[in-house]
Amino acid sequence: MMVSDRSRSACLAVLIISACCLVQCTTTTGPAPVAPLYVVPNGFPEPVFPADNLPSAERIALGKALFMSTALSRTNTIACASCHLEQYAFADTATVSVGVEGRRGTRNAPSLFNVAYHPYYMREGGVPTLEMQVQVPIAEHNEFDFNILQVQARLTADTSIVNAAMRAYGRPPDPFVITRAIACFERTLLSGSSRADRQDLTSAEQRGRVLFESTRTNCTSCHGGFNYTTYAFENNGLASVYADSGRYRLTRSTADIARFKVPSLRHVGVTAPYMHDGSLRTLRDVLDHYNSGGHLHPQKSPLIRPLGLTRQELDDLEAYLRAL
Amino acid sequence: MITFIRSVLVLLTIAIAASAQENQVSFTIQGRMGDAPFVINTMYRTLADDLYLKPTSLRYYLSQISITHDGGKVTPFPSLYILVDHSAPTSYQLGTHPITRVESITFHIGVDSARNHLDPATYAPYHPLSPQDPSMHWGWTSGYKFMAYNLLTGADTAAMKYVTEIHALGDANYHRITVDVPVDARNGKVSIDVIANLAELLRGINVSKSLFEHSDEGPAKLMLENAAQRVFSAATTTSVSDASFSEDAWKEQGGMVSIYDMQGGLIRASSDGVPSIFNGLRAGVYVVVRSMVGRTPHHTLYLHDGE
Ligand code: HEC
Ligand code: HEC
Repeated sequence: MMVSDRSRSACLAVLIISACCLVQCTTTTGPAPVAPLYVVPNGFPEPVFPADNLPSAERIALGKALFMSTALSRTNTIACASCHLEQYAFADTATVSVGVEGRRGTRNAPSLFNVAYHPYYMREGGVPTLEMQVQVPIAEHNEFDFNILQVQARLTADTSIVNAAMRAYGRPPDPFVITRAIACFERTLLSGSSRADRQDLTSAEQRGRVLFESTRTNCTSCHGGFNYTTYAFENNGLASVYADSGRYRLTRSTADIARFKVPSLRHVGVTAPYMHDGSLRTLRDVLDHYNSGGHLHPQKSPLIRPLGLTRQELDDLEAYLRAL
Repeated sequence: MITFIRSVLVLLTIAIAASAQENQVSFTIQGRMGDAPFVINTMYRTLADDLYLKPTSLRYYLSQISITHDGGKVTPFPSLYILVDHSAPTSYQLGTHPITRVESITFHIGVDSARNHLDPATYAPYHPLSPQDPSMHWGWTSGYKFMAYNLLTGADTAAMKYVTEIHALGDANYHRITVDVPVDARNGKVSIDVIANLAELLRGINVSKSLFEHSDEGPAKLMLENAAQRVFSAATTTSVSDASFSEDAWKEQGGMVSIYDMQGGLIRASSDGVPSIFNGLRAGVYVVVRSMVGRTPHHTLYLHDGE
């Protein structure tokens, strides 16, 4: 599970390319320009780093190393990157993710691009910060099945990690450092230069975009904004009976039964399968679902209703989704 | 001479009119299973007396602790969080305070909602709210387990095959408990002793099969309600069972006697071959366990006043 230099995050690669360009293109003398730690995509707000976890190159590098490290799992076999793979926009291809000893979880792994902007994490929204989210997979029986103090003990035996932790945070790799470093790295996973962002769309994609933003589909009522989500908790009629009670699990309010956080649709072309349980295999399955109006459920949003889209329109919408 | 005392436990309430205002305050929780001391990994009978039950771990948070004393004055301990662990000593030093005559102690089981959802990783190591092993935090809810009780049950002591884990949490299950503990300072110290009859935690909860409840509802919710309503009382009102047994007669019948300290550590047993296991025992509170093959062990809590 070691990281190869090739698998640097896309944004960092972009960043390095632009930094090189800067070096080459600059003719003036003076101190060599320092590469920025991350690049905020055009039109995106500046991501907010908490005061106790401001970014630095050391912190991001340590976080990335820990994100790739199997030392976080009890069996020393699974890393964050086992379920959040860069080539799938930091999601995976499993229906539900597989953790230690082949244990299957109950949910599909989402993309981690632009998590810096999410107001809360997990599909019921119970985790307020990225730092706190790191503690979830470590303890989850179906993920790392471990304890953060034991992760600390293991990392403390690794002098290169200890040195990196001292450089980054001035303290050994304790729970504070483990959670801060990984969260710091995650905040740099920014993505905002898709063809849709650059408005570099084919005519089919253009038509798809018009449909996506129209009141005929209402897609942007839930998937609006620069991240293609309002972060609301909604029921999109995926089923009439859910094994997973969604936000109800957290709030115990019947109005929240089977409501899930609206996911971002960035890179949705590579994050199959779809929905909280990975039950829809392809984007066309997703579109067929919306076109049918979904299943009856007491919490289903009134926006989810039969759309009557033609085959051509479905093709166009799918093409547009792939450009996000 | 060994003396068994009837109205036991501590609280040597005979107040020596404490003149000093500042006293060292300590708070002790004495775990019990009915009349017997609660000792992790010890065999008990269930409340319904239909099964054996062996607690393997019991931990819970206490927060928003305050002491009412000296005619209704309230001394709060707003930043005090205690993680009670019944496999370790359950006595806590609360510092020196102008408290001479305690009326009651108030606490909540769990973590107040203001702190419940903050990040455990921001606390100093060893702070009760920092990450624990085993964990007392449930990540996806971003909340602490208020109480985590693990136990085994079974129809016979050799086959404790059912595993129960009740890990209870949730802001709605955060209950306030007040225990009247009339006690006066003595020699610069105030000892607030509370009895926790932990047998009551499982009242109404079926543990005759394995039960895995990590949640804020059902048996988890009920366990916290039981904790709030049935478990805690002042130690002063407790008496030990009649302990006037003859050590020699018991041994002649083939019985064994063992002595444990309040944390469950074995001090000595009659199988060690000593003439009397009470000889040379230091003054203090102990648990005497009388056992005999084929019988449920009999526990007695008693105060030993030394030779
Ligand atoms: C066994 C697979 C697995 C591992 C290992 C794993 N994750 Fe995840 N991750 C998931 C799944 C599944 C979800 C969705 C959970 C949910 O929605 O409740 C998720 C959700 C997340 C989220 C929330 C995203 C959102 O939009 O709410 C973040 C952030 C995250 N993971 C980061 C990490 C980090 C950091 C690590 C390593 C410390 C990690 N994950 C390890 C499977 C995994
Ligand atoms: C009422 C709000 C709402 C509307 C309107 C809506 N969605 Fe969704 N969408 C959701 C929710 C909620 C989910 C996640 C459901 C789950 O996890 O089970 C979702 C999931 C998706 C996914 C899967 C993403 C993933 O990574 O799993 C895609 C793709 C998607 N929607 C596309 C669309 C399109 C295209 C439209 C318009 C035709 C649309 N949505 C309209 C709420 C909505």
